[in-house]
Parts: sequence; C-alpha cells; structure tokens
Amino acid sequence: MWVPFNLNDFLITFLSIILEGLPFLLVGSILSVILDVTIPDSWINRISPKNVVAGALVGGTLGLIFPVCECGMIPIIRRLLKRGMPLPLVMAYMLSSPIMNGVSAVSTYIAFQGQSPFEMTALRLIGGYSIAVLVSLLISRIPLPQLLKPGVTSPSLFEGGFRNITTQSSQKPKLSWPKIANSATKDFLDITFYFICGTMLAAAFSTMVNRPALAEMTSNPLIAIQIMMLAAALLSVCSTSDAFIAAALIGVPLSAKLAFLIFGPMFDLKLMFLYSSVFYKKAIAQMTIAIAFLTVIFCLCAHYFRWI
Amino acid sequence: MVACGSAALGFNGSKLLTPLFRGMCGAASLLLIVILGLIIQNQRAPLPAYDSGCPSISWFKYFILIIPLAVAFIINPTQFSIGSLRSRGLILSSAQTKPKTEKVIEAENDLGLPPEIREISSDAEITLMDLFSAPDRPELMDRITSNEISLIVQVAYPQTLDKPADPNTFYGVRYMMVCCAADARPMGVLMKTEEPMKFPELTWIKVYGKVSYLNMNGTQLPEFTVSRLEKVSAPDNLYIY
Repeated sequence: MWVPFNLNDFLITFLSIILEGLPFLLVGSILSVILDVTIPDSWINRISPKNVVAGALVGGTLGLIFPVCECGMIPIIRRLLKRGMPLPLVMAYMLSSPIMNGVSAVSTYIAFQGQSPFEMTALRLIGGYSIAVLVSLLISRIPLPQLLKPGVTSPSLFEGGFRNITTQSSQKPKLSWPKIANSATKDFLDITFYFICGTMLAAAFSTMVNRPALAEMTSNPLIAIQIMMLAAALLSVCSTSDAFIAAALIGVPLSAKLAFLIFGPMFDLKLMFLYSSVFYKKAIAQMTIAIAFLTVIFCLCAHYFRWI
Repeated sequence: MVACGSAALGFNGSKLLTPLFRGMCGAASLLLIVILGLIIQNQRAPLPAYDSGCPSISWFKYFILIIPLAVAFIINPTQFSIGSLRSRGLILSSAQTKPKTEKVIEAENDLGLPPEIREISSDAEITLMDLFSAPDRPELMDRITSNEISLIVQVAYPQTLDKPADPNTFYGVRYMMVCCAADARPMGVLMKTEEPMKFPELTWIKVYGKVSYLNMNGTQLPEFTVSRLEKVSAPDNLYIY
C-alpha cells in the first residue's frame, strides 16, 4: 500500500497543484470581496422566509449570491443568527456555501476535464445543496439550548472586528477598488495558507501511496467512499481547490471522489474547531454523522445508478 | 510577497501544467502584479480592508506561504523519479485502466487517449499515444505495423516494476498529464533489443524499429522491436498532454 517517500516526486506534485489551483483562489478572493461589498443586507433580510423548509431551501442557494469560504463563514453565520435569521436558513447557507458557488463549480469542472466534468460538477452542486438542506432541517429539530452555545446570542460576542452589516444595510455600498484589492489580497493569502497546508499533505499522500494497491482497495464503492471522506476530513482543503486534489487521485472511483468533494467542504478538522465556537460538541457530532450518512447514501446512488 | 508569488507562478508553469493552465497561470501572475501595484500605491496611507472574518495573517502563515516559492526557485523539480513508476502504476495498454462494467472509468480511460491526440501523427514520428490508440484505429494500425517507426521515450527496466529482469528488454516510458503533473500517469511500451541495454533508467532515447501487437486476453499490447537507438536530449515538453 505504501512506497518510500521521494522528495523529488513530492515537490513536483506539490508545486503543480499549487500552480494549478492558485489562479482559482485568486479569482475567488476578488469575486467574493466584490459580491460581499456590493450586495446590501436589506436584500438578505427580505429573502428570509418564515417557513422552516422554505428557509432551508433558500439558505442552500445563498452561496450562489453570497459566496463565502469556509473560514469566513462562521463569523457571518453568528451575525445572521444574532440578527434573527431562521436557523435552518443559516445552517443550510453555512453548509452549502463552500460548494454552491461559482468558483467551486468552475474549478470542479476544469479539474475533472476528461473525468465526466459536467456530471461531477452537477452532482457536487445537487448533492451539496440537498445534503445541506436535509441536515439543516434535521439539526434544527434539536432545541436551541442544546444546539447553540449561550454566547452566540449575546451581543457582546458580536463586537468583533468584522464589518457591521446592519449599520450598512440602509446605505448605498461604496466601491473602492484599492480597498477591494487590499481585502482580496488578505483573503487570498489567508486561504492560500490552508491551501498550501492541505496540498502538502495531499502531495505526501499522493507520493507515498501505491496507487495500484489503493485502486484495488477502493474497488468496493462503499469502502472507497468512506476512505475518501476520511481523507477529506483530514486534509481540510479549501473547497475552491479541492477538486484539483481529488481529480489527481488516479484509480479512485468517481463516486468516492464525489464524496470527497461533498463531505470535505461541510466537515473537516479545521471546520470542527470553527463550528465549536457556535455549536455544542454534541450538536457538531450529530451534524457530522448526518452529513456523513447522507453523503454515503448520495454517492452510493451516484455509483450504482451510474449518474457518473 | 506578492511579487515573489507572481514570479513563482510564471516559473515552472510551462513544465508542470498543460497549455490551458499555463495561460491561466500567466493571467494570475499578471493579476498579482496589478494587486501589488495597487498595494504599493496605497502604502503611504494604508486602507482598511473589507474584513470577511478570516483571521489575520500571522508570521507563521507567511512562512508557510513562502514554502512553495522556495520550492519553485531553489529545487526546480521537473520530472518524476523512477520510483513513481511503481507508485503510480505503469499503464501498458489503453484497456488496462478500463473496468468493463463501469461507465465512470471508461471516461477515465479517455484520459489516456484524448480525442485531439488521436488525430495527430501525420508524420513518420509516432507517439506513445499512437501505439496505444492504434487497436481502435485500423488505418493507423496498418501504418505503424507495416513501416519502421521512431519514438522518443525514457528507459525503465523490468526489475523496477518487480518483473523478471531481462537484459534485452526494457520499457519505453512517457508521462501523460491531463491538467498538471500531479495527475500525470506513466505509459510504457515493452521494447526488445538485440544487445543488452546500458543506459541508466530515465535516460531519454530515440528508438527506431517495428511495432507488433500481442493479444493478451482480448487486450492488444504493443511490443516494439528495436533496430537501433540513440541517446537524445530531453524534449521541450517532458509530458504528453
């Protein structure tokens, strides 16, 4: 299963993934800042339905309008919860946004050239959206005191340094390109840090694993899906660049790669720590189990019904 | 930092990426330079950023960001070691990666034989791709099996792949990539020589000879009988796209 580590091969793999993924991170950083600045919050308030199911369904699509990376998501959902937005909507947004956005979709399509790119992209979006909506509906059945930490609803927790959305909602947004560039660069460098760390792990994994042996091990789709979900959780790769890492794993079934692409953006080691600032550990565990279970079901369906 | 990033993006990009991604990489380099210009322009009066909630960049993070740049500038890796043949698995025929029951991996198999590559080989110099696609293309099959052809390949010995050593046999290998070197897969053709090979592994050689196909359980395996060979310098494109 394992081959000796080779520094040269590791560096080639590492560098090529970095060079391939960085343009997408850059475009994603700039685009997200522009959208974040230009869309007023009054619009967000207007689209918040009172119905629980409708809220989750709407929340799952918000990532298309307000794309936010995983690391920037937690402060935003805290603010949204504070402003009284329904929990299913906020949770669906939190879980789906890293997948349901243009940058992730385009990067998935390009990364999977030659590996059913359209099907992979479509299934990632559909799977990500469906699972996010279902998990948010399931988890929101838990009473709030058992789900959210008390501090989340305390105003004192919202005195952080991030932009105060409420105070800007009635104002016309002012675009400052140097400011956008400055923000985009900051976001780009921050995201790139996680990207580089994940790529280092992925490159080591890619270099040391005997792929023919791994391919034999992943011949069982159920095991392959679970192995790839575990890999996604451990690698903690940014959702805008994970497609390149998954696509490079040769010999692994596409259904297992799909599991990597759906599960990773919703739960990984990095996110586990971020989630714990909002949710109780038990709630995080319940959420993770629900995400994992639904991802396995969805990817098995994709495999056996030959959607990919 | 951004300037270094720009330079790093341009560096090595032509070697480790396919042409599509080279263009994107170049565009990203330009974008980074533009951002750098904007930052320099605003150095005297630093502007606050639209904070998205991401934690601030620490010196530790900057250190991590420098790692790929150091890799790009100092080590400059370009081609895989011989050990990667074992870890990535040498593909010996177009059918090798095609599980017969899965539409999924049929698509993956197309990775090995992209349509645009199937259309090439208009001159006498055949590529490894042509040998792999010939069983599906009768006109190409006739052409390459009835004439002496030449190939540029790297040398790999059977014992590297845990196969019985034979001094008169080696594998002619090329790496094929789809997006970047991370997804590169080695493809190989069994080559037979009259005299024992003396070149070290991964030496670039040009071989002349005739190709035939062996039917192995329904799979057409190309086998190259070498009439002569010569050492050549590495081609401009180390990888086949």
